[in-house]
Amino acid sequence: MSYFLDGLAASVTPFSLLVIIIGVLWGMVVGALPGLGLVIAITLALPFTYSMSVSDALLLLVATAAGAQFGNGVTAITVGIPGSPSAVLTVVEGYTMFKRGEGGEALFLNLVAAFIGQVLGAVGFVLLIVPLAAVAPSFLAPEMFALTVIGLLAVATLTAGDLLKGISALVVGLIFGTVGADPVASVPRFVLGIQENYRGLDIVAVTVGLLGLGELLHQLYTGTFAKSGATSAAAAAKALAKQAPQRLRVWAPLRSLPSVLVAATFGCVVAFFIGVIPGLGATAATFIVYQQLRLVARKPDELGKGSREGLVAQNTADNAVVGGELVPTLGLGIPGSGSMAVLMGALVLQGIEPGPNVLQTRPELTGTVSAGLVIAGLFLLPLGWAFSYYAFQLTRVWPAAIFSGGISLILLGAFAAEGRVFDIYMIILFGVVGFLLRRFDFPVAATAIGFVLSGLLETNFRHGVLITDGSIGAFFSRPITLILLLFATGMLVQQWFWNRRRARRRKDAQDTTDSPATK
Amino acid sequence: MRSRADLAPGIVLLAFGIWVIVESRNISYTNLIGNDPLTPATAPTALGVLLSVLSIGLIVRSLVRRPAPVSTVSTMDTAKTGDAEDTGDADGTEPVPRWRAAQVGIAIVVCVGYAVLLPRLGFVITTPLLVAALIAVAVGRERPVVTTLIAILLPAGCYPLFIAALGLDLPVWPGGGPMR
Repeated sequence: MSYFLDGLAASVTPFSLLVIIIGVLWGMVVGALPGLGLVIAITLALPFTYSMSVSDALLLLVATAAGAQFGNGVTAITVGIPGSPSAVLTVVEGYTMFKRGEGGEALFLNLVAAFIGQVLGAVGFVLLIVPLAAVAPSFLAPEMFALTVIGLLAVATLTAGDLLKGISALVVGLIFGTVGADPVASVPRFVLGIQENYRGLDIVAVTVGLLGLGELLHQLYTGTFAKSGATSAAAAAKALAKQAPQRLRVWAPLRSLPSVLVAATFGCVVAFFIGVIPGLGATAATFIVYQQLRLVARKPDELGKGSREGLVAQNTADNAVVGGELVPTLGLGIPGSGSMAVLMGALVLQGIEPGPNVLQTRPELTGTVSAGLVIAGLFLLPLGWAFSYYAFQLTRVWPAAIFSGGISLILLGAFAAEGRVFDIYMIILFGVVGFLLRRFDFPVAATAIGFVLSGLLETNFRHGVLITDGSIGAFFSRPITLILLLFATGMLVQQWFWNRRRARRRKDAQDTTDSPATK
Repeated sequence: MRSRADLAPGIVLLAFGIWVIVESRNISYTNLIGNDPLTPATAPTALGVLLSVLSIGLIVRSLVRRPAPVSTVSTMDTAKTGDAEDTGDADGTEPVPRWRAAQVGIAIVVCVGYAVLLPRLGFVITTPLLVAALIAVAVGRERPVVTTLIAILLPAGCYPLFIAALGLDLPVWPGGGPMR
């Protein structure tokens, strides 16, 4: 437990606290900007971690995530424009409340929800990572291989409504991951005569290119940057001015406190475990929490009509999911979402290879992360309160400037990692790949995660074969491995049937009631 | 949703998969560990085969299946452009006009141009050009004064962050070397 306190101590130095404040502010602003969400916020913050210590880098990214998940909801409430897909439902409940003249209360509940999500997410993180730290080192290559397979299949099946495309995207990522020296004999592969490729493709260039640059290019393609939010921002300003006296009525939400607290706890617990499962992420978490909320809601008939419970449940979910996602990312080295793949890139750049080894060699980092989650939540309260009333101005920001600024920062950040122009070319290349994958509806997060996990998968498979004298027996004779692999197969089959059933049902319905797109 | 739109990516992925298989055969190695049945080429070959199979699946499916009856794409537009445009956006119901693809292409060319010019002309000249060019790609000649301001202020803000704080060896002026 002492290492935990060490990590805690590392996150309360003046510089670390400043880093957390900057992270929260940065995340809030980027999260509130229409079209930009968690992944872009983390992507753009990445270059600034290069010169930091590992713990400060982690704190910055964790705080950025906290701010971004909160910021998503704010513009959703005041302007009705979700910062990212995970805030779509916040528009349903929050914007409805706002239009009803309960904007102050909605913003306050949104803030409290984010705070509760942060804190309970941190509690969940600690409760899961500590036992994982005890068990994980006993995992040998076969178990790690099986776990990686589960992580990869979860990502491929859950991020895509289309299994074929999901797995194709994943395999493309795995192939990108084989570039460079092979993990057993260090034989160069696919280097194409390029010196830089011998070390393998740069994790930051690939993840940021696929997820960051690719996303911005795709938004240019779909026309996000051609729209302007100026008129809706003006309307929001007027409405907010009318609701100004409400700012002080913090006590108003207290009346609904009991039901809201139930919803918050429910949102946290469900979202946290969704976060732990690779591949689902924030958007799925908010939708699943929202669907299941009917079971526990005191006033289920209010849902969809500006329900306080609905608003709180989703927004706690949005923040709690980050704590869940950090568990497999740090504990097993298996990132479950695009933002976690980028975060892992930041750690790799620092010379930290997330996984069971880190829990052994740098156990204090788990303390740092939990402290970061809580402290970011604490800073969120005052910063977010002030931010809530001015965030709508961000929708006035010229979309073309967001596009241009985002790409410029990504290209400069690519260069900043190692000071090589080569990395700018690589990030552009993977930006194009990311754009094309999105353009044709392939889940690009699966490609990024496939790339990140490719080495782990191959290393553990080949080591597994080596420890049993050249047979694949190790994967069947070890009970845990066998169970995990059977589970992975079952997951794949189940998803296939589920997709078929859904396709048939959709055909029957003939309606355009598409299921919400999960990222 | 699933229609001919999957044909082109299917063919590209198939080509990539086959290239991976062929290229894996060129990986030269000597098996140091006597009884290791796996070689450095095993994983790439297996992945190449898997991708080829999956992409053939995509191609076959796109040819066999009729386009979904309920589609976000208007039939007129599908006929005009030849292949169904599917934005895949959560709320993107309107079809994407063709010129947007050209817009993305130009944005990519601008980025590559930046990578080419940065080491030659330096940060101070190229970065404002990049910022202004990307805005122009997004909205054309709209609001030139604001564009100029952003093009000057954004790099000016980046300068202390990237060069002073990170201590980067970024070529600042034309002629290469960093200027301190």
